[in-house]
Amino acid sequence: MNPIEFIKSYLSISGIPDDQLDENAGKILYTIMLLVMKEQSINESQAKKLEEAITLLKEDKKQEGIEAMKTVFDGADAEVWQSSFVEKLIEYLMDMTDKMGDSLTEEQKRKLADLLNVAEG
Amino acid sequence: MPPESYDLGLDKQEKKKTSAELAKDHIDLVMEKAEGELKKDKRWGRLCEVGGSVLIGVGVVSVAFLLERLSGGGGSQELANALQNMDFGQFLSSPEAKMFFPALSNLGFGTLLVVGGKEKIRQAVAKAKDKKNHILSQYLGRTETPPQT
Repeated sequence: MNPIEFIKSYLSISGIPDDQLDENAGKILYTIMLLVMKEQSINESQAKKLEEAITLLKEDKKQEGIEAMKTVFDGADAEVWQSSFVEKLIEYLMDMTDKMGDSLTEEQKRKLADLLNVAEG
Repeated sequence: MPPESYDLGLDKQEKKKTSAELAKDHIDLVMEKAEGELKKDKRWGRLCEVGGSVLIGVGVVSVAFLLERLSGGGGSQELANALQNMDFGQFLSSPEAKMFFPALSNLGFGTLLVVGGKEKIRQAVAKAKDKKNHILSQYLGRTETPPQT
């Protein structure tokens, strides 16, 4: 089970309708990325490059914007980003479980626990 | 017989939300909060002046960066379209997403350690497992993670 399937399974057990799984899984991934970006921070040089890239995107120069965006992160440590991403994703799902709390039925709790144990393996 | 406008207050009682409603509330709230916090950060302040709405796309574009860096692939038209339209469903179905996320170790922590084998990832997984075990015992009625077979 890959992370996308994992998230969608999590959401499905939580009661999210099938036709809303992609949208909500996407929101989660996007949010996690924002959290990772904030944590990893950027320096002035990167901020300047990012500003230029955003300007291009805003002007609907999509390809140029994306290419400019890539240069922002030259030299970034992919391992750090990846581990931060995993950690925050798990924390996120756990917080969501916390939020659902008593609204979960015994069946939902059993399925979520089983899903977490599948992810463990 | 009370007039039609007589208010019994019944409609003011808060309906108990379902788990799905609570999950969606959480998803939207955390997303808005993350966006808000990022925009308040002084390092991002100038970027917000350039275009706050565009900033929302930055996270997704950064995913594209990770996809390319970690998968070694180039950007596809599907991904480019998803980025432009902020279409999360399309983004998830893009070839890059399919390539990248399995590389994130299946979210199987044991697999992650084997594939990653790096201390930072190991530490991240350990923290996540602590949190998971807390949730298992606190909210899901399990006292501990069953031993792996």
